[in-house]
Amino acid sequence: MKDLKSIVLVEDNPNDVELTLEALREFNLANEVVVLEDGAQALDYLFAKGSFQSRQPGNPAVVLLDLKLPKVDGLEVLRQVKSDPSLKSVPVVMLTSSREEQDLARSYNLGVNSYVVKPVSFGEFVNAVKRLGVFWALTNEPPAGSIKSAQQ
Amino acid sequence: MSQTSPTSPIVRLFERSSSFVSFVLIGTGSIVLMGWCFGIPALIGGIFGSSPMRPLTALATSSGGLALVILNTKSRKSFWMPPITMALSCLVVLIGVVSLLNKTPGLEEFLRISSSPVPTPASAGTMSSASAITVTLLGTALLLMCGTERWINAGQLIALMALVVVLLPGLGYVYGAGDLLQTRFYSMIGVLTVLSLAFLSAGILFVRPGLGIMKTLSGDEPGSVALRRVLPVVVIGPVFLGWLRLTGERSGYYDASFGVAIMTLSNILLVAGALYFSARSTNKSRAILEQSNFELKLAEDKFRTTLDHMLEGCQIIGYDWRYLYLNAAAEKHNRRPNAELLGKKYMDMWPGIEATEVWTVIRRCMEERLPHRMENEFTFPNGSKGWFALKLEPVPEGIFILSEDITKEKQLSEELKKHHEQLENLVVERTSQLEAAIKELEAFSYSVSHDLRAPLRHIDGFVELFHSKESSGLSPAGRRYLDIISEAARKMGNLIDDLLSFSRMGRVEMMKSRVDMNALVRDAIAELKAQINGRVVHWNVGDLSSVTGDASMIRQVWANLLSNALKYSSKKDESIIEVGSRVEHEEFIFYVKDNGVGFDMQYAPKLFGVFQRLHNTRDFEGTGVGLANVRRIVTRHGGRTWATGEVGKGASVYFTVPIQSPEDAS
Repeated sequence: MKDLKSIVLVEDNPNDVELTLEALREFNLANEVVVLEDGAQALDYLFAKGSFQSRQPGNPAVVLLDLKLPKVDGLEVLRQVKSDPSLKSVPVVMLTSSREEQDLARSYNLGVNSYVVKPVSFGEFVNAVKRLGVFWALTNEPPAGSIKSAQQ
Repeated sequence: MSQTSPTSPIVRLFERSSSFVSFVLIGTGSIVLMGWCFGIPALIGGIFGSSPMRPLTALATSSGGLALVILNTKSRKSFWMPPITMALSCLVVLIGVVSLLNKTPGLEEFLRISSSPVPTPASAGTMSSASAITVTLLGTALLLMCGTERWINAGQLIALMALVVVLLPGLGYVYGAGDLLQTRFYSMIGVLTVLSLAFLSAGILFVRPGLGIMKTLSGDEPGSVALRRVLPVVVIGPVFLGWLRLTGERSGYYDASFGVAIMTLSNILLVAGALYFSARSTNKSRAILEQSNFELKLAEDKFRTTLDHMLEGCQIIGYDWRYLYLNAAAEKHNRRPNAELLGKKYMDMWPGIEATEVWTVIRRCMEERLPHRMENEFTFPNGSKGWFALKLEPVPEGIFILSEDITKEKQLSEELKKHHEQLENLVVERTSQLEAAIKELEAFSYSVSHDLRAPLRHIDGFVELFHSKESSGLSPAGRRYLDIISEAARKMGNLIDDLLSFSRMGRVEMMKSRVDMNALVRDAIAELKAQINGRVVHWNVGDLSSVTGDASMIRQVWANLLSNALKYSSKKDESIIEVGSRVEHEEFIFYVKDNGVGFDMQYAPKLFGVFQRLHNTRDFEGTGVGLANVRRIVTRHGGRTWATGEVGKGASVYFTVPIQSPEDAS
């Protein structure tokens, strides 16, 4: 069995982290979800530096990126990812509550793959995540004998 | 005053007579010469039985006349005229001198004097000594006429002398003094010679009437006027009296001694009378002159007093750059006493002035005689400065400078400029403060959109989770509570969204273009069709004018107004919604009218306020932002909004768009 690519979730709000993880669990995804709390951590992880120097090599299947983040904001993370030759093919989804048009325009200018305004309704949120169109990179968890646990 | 004007009529008359005389002389001389050449006795001038004019005298007469002609021409200053005049004069002198030495020149031989038609006495072929001396004197006088005034003066004296010499035989002829004419000195001088030489003398005297001794005769002064009146009387009178006395004596009325007595007395009377009248006329002209001088002085005083007391500074600077006049205001402007400047040279008084612009302008006015005006900041020798408005005028004395102190005005305008700049700076400062405030507001609304929505999302999300995983043991009431919590969170989300769109409407830049209102209304109605849910709705849409504006904003206006109309008429069996426009006072008026619940007009002012609602949420859903948004958009387009209505009978909402959309409405 090949190694499954991870899903990176960059989100500083623990409630949002929990809700997102809950939503992802609904799909029975087998991928590892790496949760990072700010933009600096996200960059460290993606470029395998700092405290993530010794992480397993390889790019994630998708990056779910909050726009408003402590230290380094989402747009800056997006810019660095999309300007790096080895990272720019990784799909990035902006996951944010902002409806500000200029954020939308700036994200698209920087090459974001998808932009989702987090709906207040959890159901709508789940649907939005489903619509992301990155499922080809994700693998549903087999009913029994979890690979996830085998990986661990 | 002492110099006779060249245009004086007397001077012109004298010059013209001199010119006339010169042509007469040339004619006479030429005719006599021709007479000698061709042997025609009638032409050689032996009139009244006197001697004819000698050929040499004729030649001298012609040459003298020619010299006079040249002296009278306008081109006397040209370079070849003086030498010719001098050559002719020298010829005349030569003829006189040669005749005086009694040497018979070959000329008379050449003119075939031997075939002379008139028997010639002992001194045949030569002129009399008197003629020779006169000719010499006249030649010399002519020569001197070519020189400066001093020489001309001498020439005129010599011509006068010649006139005296030649007049004696002239008088002799008048009185029939045969004895005198028999003397060796005057022998053989003919009447024509006497007349010609007298004329030549007069011609020389009158050729430069404005100069030398003739100045006294030709001048405008009372003395000159008197002289011109007395002279003819004094000259002609005694001559006539002398003739009268002689005639009486010869006729034997009285003897010589009585004749002398009569003549002396007559002369005394004549001269005394002439002097008396001359004195009287002099006195009279003097009185006139004094009167006019007095009047002139009065006028001058009046001007001077006016100048003295003018508020503008007046200065007159002469051609030699010396101050000729300064008034009291000029003293103030110059900031130094006038006495210090008067008579001094301008550039000596203001060292360093030659390097300034004002000097260039003053000098140009002096040289080119053109008026000029300018504003100038003058730096005084002590370093202080002042602004002056200057008017420069060329005047007969030199230049006239009128100055006005505009230092205060300049200072005021400088101050005004400074204030203006300060105001400008203040505006810039305030604008940047306002811009900062707007930025802050934007940041605020951004964080509202972001941070205020997060907790709502969490409430909703966790209630949902609770609902799906933990609600199995809940009572129906418990489930209802959960639904209410979800619904409340959702409503608050809508409120926040509307509020944000309202704030965005005030901020986003307008993209102006031609907007087809018919198309916008059609689209908006199409979108609303989904909400009709089988209701009967009559849409009465008239033809709408196109406007200039931001299409997406105006789309929002129509969407809000039409959905309101649909919403508030939903309780009716049949909804009738009317849309129309008309033009009034440079603006388009659009309206949406429904037959819905309407409203009480006393609350009309609240209608367009944010979160202002006239109906409760149970009856009609809404956040109270829709009409506020409409007003904001319309205001940004330079238009107005209002509404009319009646409870139970429907409402009409109006908005206007100016026909000429203001360029920078925001």
